[in-house]
Amino acid sequence: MYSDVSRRKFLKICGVAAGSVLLGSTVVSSKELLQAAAGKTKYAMAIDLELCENTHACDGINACVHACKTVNVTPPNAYWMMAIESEHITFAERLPRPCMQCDNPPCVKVCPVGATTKRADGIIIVDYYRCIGCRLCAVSCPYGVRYFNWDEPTKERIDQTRAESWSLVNEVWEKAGKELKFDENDTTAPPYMIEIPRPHGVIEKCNFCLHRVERGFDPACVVCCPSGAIKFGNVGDPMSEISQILHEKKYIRLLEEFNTKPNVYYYNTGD
Amino acid sequence: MSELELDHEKTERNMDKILVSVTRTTGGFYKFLIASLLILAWFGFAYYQQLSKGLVVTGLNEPMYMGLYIGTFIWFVGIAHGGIAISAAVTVLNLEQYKPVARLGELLTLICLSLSGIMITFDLGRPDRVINLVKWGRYQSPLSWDVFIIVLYFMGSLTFFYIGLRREMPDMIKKFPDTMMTGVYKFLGAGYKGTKKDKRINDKAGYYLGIALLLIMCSASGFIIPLIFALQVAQPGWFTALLPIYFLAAALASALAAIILIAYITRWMFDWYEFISDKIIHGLGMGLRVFLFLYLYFIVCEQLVMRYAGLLPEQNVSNALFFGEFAPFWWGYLILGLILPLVILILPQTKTTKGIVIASAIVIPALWLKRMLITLPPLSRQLIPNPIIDPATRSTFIEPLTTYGIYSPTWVEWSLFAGTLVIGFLMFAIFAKYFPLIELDVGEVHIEPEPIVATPAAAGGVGAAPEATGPPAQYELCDTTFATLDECCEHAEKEHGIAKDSCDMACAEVKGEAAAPAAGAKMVSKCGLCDAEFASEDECCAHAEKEHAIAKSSCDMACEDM
Repeated sequence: MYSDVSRRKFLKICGVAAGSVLLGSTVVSSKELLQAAAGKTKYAMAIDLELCENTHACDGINACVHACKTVNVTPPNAYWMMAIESEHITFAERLPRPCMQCDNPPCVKVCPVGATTKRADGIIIVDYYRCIGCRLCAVSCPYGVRYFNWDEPTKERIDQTRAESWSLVNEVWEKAGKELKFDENDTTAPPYMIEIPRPHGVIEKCNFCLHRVERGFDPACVVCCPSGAIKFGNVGDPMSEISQILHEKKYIRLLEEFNTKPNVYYYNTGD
Repeated sequence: MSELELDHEKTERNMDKILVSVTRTTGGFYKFLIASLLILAWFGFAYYQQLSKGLVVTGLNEPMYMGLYIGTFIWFVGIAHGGIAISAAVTVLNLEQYKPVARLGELLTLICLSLSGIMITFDLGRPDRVINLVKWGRYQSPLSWDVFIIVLYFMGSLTFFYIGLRREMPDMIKKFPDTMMTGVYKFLGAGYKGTKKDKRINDKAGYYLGIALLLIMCSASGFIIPLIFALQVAQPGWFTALLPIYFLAAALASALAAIILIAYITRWMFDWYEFISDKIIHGLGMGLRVFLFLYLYFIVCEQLVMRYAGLLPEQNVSNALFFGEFAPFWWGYLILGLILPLVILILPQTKTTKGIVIASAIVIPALWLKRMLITLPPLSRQLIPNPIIDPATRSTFIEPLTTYGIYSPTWVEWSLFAGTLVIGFLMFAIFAKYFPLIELDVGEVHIEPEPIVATPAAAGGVGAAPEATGPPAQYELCDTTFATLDECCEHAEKEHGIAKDSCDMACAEVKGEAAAPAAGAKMVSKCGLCDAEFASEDECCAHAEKEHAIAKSSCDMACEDM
């Protein structure tokens, strides 16, 4: 869908440009699109595992997971952001796991129809109207971040997912004694939904809340983390917060030995 | 090709025997049709469920993205391989003795390839968008290679099959001049009259296409199909360079087993004991033994590397097979599905026709199970331990939190599987009702040359005595020649475990040598390679084989009529 949107947008821009030349007026361009095209922007995520571990309000609920479900209205089986608990990993109490948006993505390689592509800004997207549902990309992903729409979403289920997940996020913030605030211009703020639900039979995955990022806002999991353990930003810009963190801290990336070159970094505040 | 004259009476009788599958329709056929249609109706209902609701009606889930459909797909492609391999080998490698099962094999290939295509569309989440594979196809994806090779293989096999079938259309038109199929036969014959020139052009096309098909066959099951799996870095059990050859061995084993089974059943159904001899079944059985042994060897290699090196992800997969939830199937497969048929095929007491057929009947379903055991375990052990959603409700985590994928096929998957099998049987039955299942020239009987014509006069008085009573009948088995049938039967029972009452199948009568042509005969054939001239085409063929290493069956290409 997103590649569709951006293509449509691109055509629109072209149309507007052509129209503007004809009319003699100025061209209104999409800032993100031009930046992405110039290769200056590259989005990445850095997750502070220590801070995450100390966020006891999240115990058993995980605000990031449910913020993601609220905003992206994923089907019940899909968790674009998943929190892996300490029973299964050794190096952290809790491991938030979004899509790694790899620089050498196995999923993009194997797609037979080019439905999944990597944008110039590093985000890997799925064209829900081109995907044939072969699930080869899901099999090829070492992180297991790709989910399948086994059935058609219904309006009731979407509403229910949104309401339940949103109440869970609020519960965490209440427990933490903080107030969850969104930018007042943020039209994509939960519980309002812009991201469209996917039809049955296609693959979907975390896209760093592309509909929010394109409008200049951070992904939902970043905003809704009560301790601010998840950082998001443009590593192409040396002055951004994430660039500073990656410059100063020691970090790890998951399954680096697979040479997927992931763009999600894990670090500890203390290091 | 032979200059020998056809014994029209016997040939006609044999042709009628071969065509018994077309001419005789028993009540069993209608019962079979009705049962198939009932199952197909159920299949239609199940497929409607899947199309309207999506893949939610299957047991597939995260992370078990592939299941029964993909496992069955590999199985079908595997079975599809032997057929064309055998008939291409008959044509290219001159294995004339397997000619009676060539048509059955080709048919098996075509049917199983169609079924594998059907299976893969079941697995797609959006079968309505399958055209995207052409519209937006990316050559970098293993799945695109797959679509390419399957389509190529199917079209090649279909053409090869058609070339063989076309040769028989004049006979079919002669046999069934006024049925509703006559027009179809005429259409399929496409002007083929059965003249020497027609025959030569047709055979030449078959020869070269046969070579191409042997190569495509190896590259499909031994290269491209396994690459879907072997290129997935995230799946430790699949990600090995052994996989292509591993798949090829299994493919050829299942294909040979399927041909043995189908040859045995049709021979029993249509009383074709004189065409499909025990010798053929024994030969195929020995091939099956080789491929099963290779398969066992590959399994040992694979597991040894996975367990000895002990890389954690690989060991997890191996442990799932050895001790985990797959253990009953894995050990069951190894002991009952692999070792047992191997033992049956090795021990001289069990190596009989019946034994070989039983072994084949075990191998086919066992290899289906093995395909599932290849598909599922790597998927079930994830590299990053995401908790598993309950596949039944698809909305709650399984408690206590587990990271092992769980999969069991639902009734929809089983119904679609059964329906696909029934489609295959129906295709076979309908073909058998209208076309010969054995190539008609298998039934050709040539008139034995009269010994009086050439020998007594030419040989003079010395060697003439035995000729008066005719040459002693000679019988041949495993390249040993016997003077009497009894001797040969004794040998067959002792050495090959063939019962005496069926020994006429094993002991083939050695045919008399062709009579020498009369001196001064007109030169009729010319070797196209060295311009030598010969009195008969047979002589030319013998020359071509000796001097130019051209197989006798394809000597048409070398020898030209003058």
